[in-house]
Amino acid sequence: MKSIYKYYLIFGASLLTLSACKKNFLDRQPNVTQSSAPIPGSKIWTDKALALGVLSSFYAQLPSHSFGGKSGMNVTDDALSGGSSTGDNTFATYSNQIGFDNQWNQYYTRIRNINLALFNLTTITGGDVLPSDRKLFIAELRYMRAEIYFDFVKQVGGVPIITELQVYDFSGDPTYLQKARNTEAEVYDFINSEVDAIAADLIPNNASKSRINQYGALALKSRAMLYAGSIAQFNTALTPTVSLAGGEVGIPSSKAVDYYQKSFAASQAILNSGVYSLYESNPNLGENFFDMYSKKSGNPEVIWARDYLIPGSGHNFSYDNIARSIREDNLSSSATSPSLNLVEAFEYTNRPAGSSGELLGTGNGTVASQANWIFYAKQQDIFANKDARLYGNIAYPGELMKGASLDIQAGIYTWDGTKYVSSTGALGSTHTDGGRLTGLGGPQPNVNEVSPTGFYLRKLIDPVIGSSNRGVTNTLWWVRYRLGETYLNAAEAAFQLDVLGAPGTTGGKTKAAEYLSRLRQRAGFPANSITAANITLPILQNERRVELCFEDHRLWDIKRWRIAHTIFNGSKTTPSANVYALFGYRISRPGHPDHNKFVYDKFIAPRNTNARNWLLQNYYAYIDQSVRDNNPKIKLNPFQQ
Amino acid sequence: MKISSYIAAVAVVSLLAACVKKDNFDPPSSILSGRIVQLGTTTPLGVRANLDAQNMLELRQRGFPLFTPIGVYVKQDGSFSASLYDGDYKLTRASRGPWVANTDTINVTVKGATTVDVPVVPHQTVSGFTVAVSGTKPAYVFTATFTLKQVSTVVVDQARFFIGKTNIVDISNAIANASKNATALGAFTNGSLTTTIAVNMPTPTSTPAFYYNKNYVYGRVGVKAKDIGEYTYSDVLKITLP
Repeated sequence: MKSIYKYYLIFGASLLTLSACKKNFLDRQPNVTQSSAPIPGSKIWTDKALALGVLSSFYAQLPSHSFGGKSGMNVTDDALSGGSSTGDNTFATYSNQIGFDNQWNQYYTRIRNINLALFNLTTITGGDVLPSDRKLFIAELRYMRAEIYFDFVKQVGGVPIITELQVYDFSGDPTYLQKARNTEAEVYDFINSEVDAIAADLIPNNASKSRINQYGALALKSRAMLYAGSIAQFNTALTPTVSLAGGEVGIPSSKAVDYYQKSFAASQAILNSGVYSLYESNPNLGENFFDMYSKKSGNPEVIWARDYLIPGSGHNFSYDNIARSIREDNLSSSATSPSLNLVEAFEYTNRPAGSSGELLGTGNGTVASQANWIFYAKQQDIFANKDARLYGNIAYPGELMKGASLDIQAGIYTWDGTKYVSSTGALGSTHTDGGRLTGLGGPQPNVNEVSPTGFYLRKLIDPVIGSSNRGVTNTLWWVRYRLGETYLNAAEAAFQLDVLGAPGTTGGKTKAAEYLSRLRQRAGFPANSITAANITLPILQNERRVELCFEDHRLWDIKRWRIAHTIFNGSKTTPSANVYALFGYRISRPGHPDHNKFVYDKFIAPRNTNARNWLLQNYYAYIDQSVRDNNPKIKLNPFQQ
Repeated sequence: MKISSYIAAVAVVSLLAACVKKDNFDPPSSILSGRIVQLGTTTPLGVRANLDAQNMLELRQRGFPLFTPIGVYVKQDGSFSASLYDGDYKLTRASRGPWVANTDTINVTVKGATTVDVPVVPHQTVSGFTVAVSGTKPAYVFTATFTLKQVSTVVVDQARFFIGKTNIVDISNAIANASKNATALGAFTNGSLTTTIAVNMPTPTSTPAFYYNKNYVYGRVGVKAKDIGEYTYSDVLKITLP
């Protein structure tokens, strides 16, 4: 019995030690004015090397919607995923939200970190961080905070603007930290006032393309004010039910002119500065457009980009998206397969502005439609006279990429005496007539890692040999702002000011036509292809779609124009709501003049035949229940409840 | 010594057993079922088939630290069911449905099999839906005749007649459709309007042949109010091809 008491004693003693540990652990006081990093602020902001390191980590955390995700570009009608899983296309019906929910906590973590850094920069002095450095750091941090708020407001609408460092007092009552949502207009006004306050302080960065400079800040203002202007102009007219009574979502139409004027002024400041010019170094217009995005040295067009120069910091975009026939790894390809819808959005250079870019002489896979076929001598002839930007953005049949043939051919058509009959084979197979049966690059209707649309990406694919191998990180940069967009922003603002009849804005259409014509000239159109007489909103919208495709614009553009629910109406019989494919075939009919010519069939891409169905609640992201659990003052978005 | 080790062993085993017991709940066994009906009637409201994914109805239960809703799946005929634990629930109707926004809570006490009808005020309703087939194979023309009734104050935006190949028919699941906008529909008389919409069978050149091997299709009519995202639908009719 004695021994049992001994065990009790030992057990009891061990319990005591446990409770003691626990008590100390829970009673530790967090140092709330320091970041969670092990290095305290007093060390960071007095040592320039450390300060630059922290600053670059803030840059790396800025929101971007492209290289990070495989499927982000497939959300609209610009592309379909043909990647390693069909799941990448499940958002086609959009459901409640499309891939940009639940960033609330991430964004506020970043905003708080910036507020903490700003607090430390203004309270801690000394070391080798000079006052001029501090001024620049503060301007850069405030810029990044504005950039995060811009990304926030275009997804969620108005959010609480927090500019001070919030510190919890451990009183058990956090209500004094809980802020209600600001209005959507207030968030855009905040971005505008921040850019105005800091633009001049960013001048020391003007030589840099990866640190934000004065013109990059103006480019944010140019874009953000344009977004605000178009929401003000279109929300009341086209989607009046997408608004909240308190203005957290929706901007009154009376503010449209003011926002457009601010956007126009910012665009003018960039255009008239003479610092940037359009990239026009390569006489081959298609290649020139590809170089414009991918060439880093001597690029006069790029204003600000996310660069990936630190070894290991790059992305794997080429691995996911390289054209199948030229892939260097034994896996992957086609995560973003451009749609025929986008290809047809590129106009013909020899037709008037605004004419249809529909490809000529296509069938649709049925016997009756074979009467429409044009028999093309070369695969690429169907794309003759197209906007040169088509070549710069999209890899289409008959062209080379990275020095190799793209080899895109779905199959062959043979003559059975009364009609043509199609047949297809394995990738890279040869027909009995000695010619190609199915190309190494497909397309195939529904096979993983083969294009389901008949097209591959050219833009954003790293031209470096070996860059599409697994584990090889790409250093191709992600261009955030470039002069081409500034031209489009200026054109749209000038056009809308003229339409809205703002005082002193007559001639806005002439200016808009000049800007657009300038961009189109670079793409092979004749001079003055758009004039004040023929410029329309659809022309402007289409120009923006083709110039900026795959640069993370289309989704936000169709949202702010409030046309998403009209073009993606969920109906299988509405062409704009469905993603189309173009499958090319070789004619195998020895002895006939059409032998070895090429024909094309066009149909809804079989990989995902759901029509895109944009609902009114998709204009703004859902606010997660956990956000409301933490802060009951947050109002939900329209149609969320 | 021997006794004490038995005691220890029993204690450890019973502790383990207790833990296992605590982590395992019985699955919910009570079924809450019902329909979405027009307020003041027992007429169920037809909705879009995958409206289920939209969580048009949500259940919440008080008494827990977090207030995360349980989404309730709704079928295209407006009926729904959910497996739940017995208890008191708050049922809410989402404002994004094809009805007048009303976030008032419906208190539901679930005990065993429970039935509840969820009343909503649709903007318009569709009734008296019939279809006439004319033409010869394959160039059929379907003509829908139906009556729209104005219920709320929101004006009509358009009515649409859908043809589907399965008995799930709505804007996302149709092989052909035709619409009439508010102007083409004309004015309502005493809140009621009877009209027709004709739609052609899609031509064989644009649609795979297997539609033509069947001798039936399905039809349904939907009506949408201005600036409202969803349609209110009629019943689905099976249309036999002559």
